[in-house]
Amino acid sequence: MSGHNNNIQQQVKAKIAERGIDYKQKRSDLASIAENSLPAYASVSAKARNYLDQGVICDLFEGAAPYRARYILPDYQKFLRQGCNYLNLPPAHDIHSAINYLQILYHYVPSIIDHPVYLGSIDELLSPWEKSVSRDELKRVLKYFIMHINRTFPSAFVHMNLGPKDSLTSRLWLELEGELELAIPNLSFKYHRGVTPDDLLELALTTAMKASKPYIVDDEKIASMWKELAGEGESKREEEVEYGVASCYNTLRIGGGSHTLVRLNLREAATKSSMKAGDITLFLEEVVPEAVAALAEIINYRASFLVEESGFFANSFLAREGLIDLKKFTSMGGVVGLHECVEILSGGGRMGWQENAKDRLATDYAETIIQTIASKLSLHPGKYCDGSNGKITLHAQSGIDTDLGTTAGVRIQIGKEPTLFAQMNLAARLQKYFTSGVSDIYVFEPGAKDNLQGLASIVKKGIDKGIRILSINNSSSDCVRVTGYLVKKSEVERYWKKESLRDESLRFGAPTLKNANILGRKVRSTKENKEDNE
Amino acid sequence: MSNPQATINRILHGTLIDGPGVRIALFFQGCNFKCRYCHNPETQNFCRACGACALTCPTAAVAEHGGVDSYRAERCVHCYQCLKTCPHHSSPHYRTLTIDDLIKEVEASRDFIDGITFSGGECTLQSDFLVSAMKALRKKFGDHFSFYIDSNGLIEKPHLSLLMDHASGFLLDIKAMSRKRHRFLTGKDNKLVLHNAVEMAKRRLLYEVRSVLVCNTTAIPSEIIASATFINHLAKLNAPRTLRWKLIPFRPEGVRDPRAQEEMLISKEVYDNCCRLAKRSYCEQNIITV
Repeated sequence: MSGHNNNIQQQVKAKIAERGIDYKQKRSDLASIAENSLPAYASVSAKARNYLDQGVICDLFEGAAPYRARYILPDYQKFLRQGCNYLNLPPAHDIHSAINYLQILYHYVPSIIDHPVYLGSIDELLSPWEKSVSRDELKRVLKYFIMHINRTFPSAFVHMNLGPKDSLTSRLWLELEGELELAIPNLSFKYHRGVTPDDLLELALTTAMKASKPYIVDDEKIASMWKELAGEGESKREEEVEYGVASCYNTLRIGGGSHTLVRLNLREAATKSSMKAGDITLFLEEVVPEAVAALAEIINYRASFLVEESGFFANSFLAREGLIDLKKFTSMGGVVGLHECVEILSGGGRMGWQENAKDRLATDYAETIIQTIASKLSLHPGKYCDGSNGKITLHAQSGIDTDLGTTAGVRIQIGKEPTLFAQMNLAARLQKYFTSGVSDIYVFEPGAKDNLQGLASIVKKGIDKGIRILSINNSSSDCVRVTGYLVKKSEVERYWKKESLRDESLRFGAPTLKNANILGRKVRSTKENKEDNE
Repeated sequence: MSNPQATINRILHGTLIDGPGVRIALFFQGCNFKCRYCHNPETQNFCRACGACALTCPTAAVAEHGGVDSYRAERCVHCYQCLKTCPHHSSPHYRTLTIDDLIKEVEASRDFIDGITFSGGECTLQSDFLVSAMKALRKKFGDHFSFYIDSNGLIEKPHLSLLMDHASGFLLDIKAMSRKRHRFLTGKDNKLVLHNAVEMAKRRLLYEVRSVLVCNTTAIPSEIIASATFINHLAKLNAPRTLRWKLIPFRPEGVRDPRAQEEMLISKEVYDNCCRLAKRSYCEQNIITV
């Protein structure tokens, strides 16, 4: 025991003396050291523990003893409507009070990164008052709002939502994001055919070509997926089921969120069980069911600890005042490394490609594996997952900095991308299985900005085909989409020079940029390489 | 009816710079211009089976004295040594394409595209195929797709009028406004090109006019102003359809002659000045710069 204590003391000392990180980051890291000094997973089975030790299952360093939910999506609408006793705030009555109250509440929204990972659908929150000030004033006010978020929550996981309806607030926000080119906040634009005007989508894409955000989200299908799932459980639905996009493409219920995110590394699952080419049946019938069972066990352990041991929900004013509700929460089971897993099982086939029989096999395996995981996961009851009818929801996890040789979620490995349409076809086949978030990235040459109709066409046709979430990026912009979040190339250079930087996500982003060859993503199609066509 | 065939250098699925929306672009083999700055000189001529490429091909994908007819795609490693070697500005890679082949290509990408663009080389040298192709595609897919033609404008009258009856729009290169400079750059006169530009505009078929800015040739004020004046005239005829004017700085990629590369290059400053002048002389929001 004293060895254990000495070890902790050393860690604390080292952290206190560490250079290149600021006081708040230190404090947060010190809290993690304290939390992780407790024994983790006291009551999980030896099998599940073994998966954790082998790296087949990874808890994303959430900590040994969760005392706040990983993703929290407060009902900010309700907050502005009813005010808050705990914070002694009345209902908002104009644009200034609304923004001010939101800024206050953001500081009280826990997450595992100390900053709120969901900031609300800003146009819905502010549009009731947008007409009461001039366009210029509204733009000025929104600019300072963005700057406040950028400076006080220096993490690219802090996520704002826009759309699908038209509003001046949305338009000005998009304009500002294009002008400011900031990595923070992360931004998602909910697109809904028939609701979102074409020129608003084009404005979003203009911003995307400048600032690598917003991500485009298929509002129609994600909303109905959640409504269907949540509706199954609630015999009498009192409130509308709504979703938001948080952190790294986590689509979760507003007023709810996710207790935890634990992920299954499919590459490790295949290698640690010594899978070889042709072992697909064995993989689907033995490896997947066992690994998914362990995944569910770990997830449920964490959710139970959070709710029962830490008493987070009993203790939080957010819950007490109805801004969050345990009944709207879920837990997330993530997957990564599908690309490598499929490569192993198909004997070198490239998923997404259609060049030869092996490629086609790999493409089919990819869908079969995800389909199997989704159906196996649904067999395990999710503890405290009333928000998703007692189910753990599937998520394509977009990677972490230490992932070497494991591709994010169900994406295609960087450098192995097939043609644009082939990649979109694959994404369309796979994305429908993910209730709580999935993503894919398409990088275009700067010239694509002059063909907004073309970019909009890619979004609309992709969505028609089945793509749920996609990012349109510009190969020359300073903001780079790392996994789901953004960093600025210029700041990454400063990070490696060991300058103390505000953006906390650079600690993950800079190494990932290197390890995962992020800048090697295939640049699309304003002039594709000659090789693609032969 | 005969089964028309085209000679195609390459097919690109999913381009955003060859017309509006997302498109398939077909690059035809053969060109009637010999531009000094041509980026794809291998598309200019047809193979003479001289065997030069066979000598440098590392995988024997081309047989000696066989040329394009002996090309075996399965052996090719796409090193493009053949293109560098070819003394005739041609390639052993091009192939013939029937209307049925084209329909298959379109079907493979139909869920993602807004249309098809015929480019080159100079695609209008194969006008009979173009007309048959547009008719056949329209018959097969209805009005689902638009058809654009990317041309240097040197098109004989009977061909142009047929093409205009079927095409949804044209992307037109105007290599230079001055006849002398046009000759210097392309080896051909520009009278017919400018005449055809007006014809296309009268039918409201111009989508985009492109100018490549070459040092001391087209990247000079008098050329920019002459282009702007002419394009303004075209834009009036073309109205209400918008006419984009794209200004592209000369790029050395693909150009064979290293001396020509150096002589034609313009600085960022010269390019920006040209763009500024263009924006003063033509509707700014319809000017596309890189």
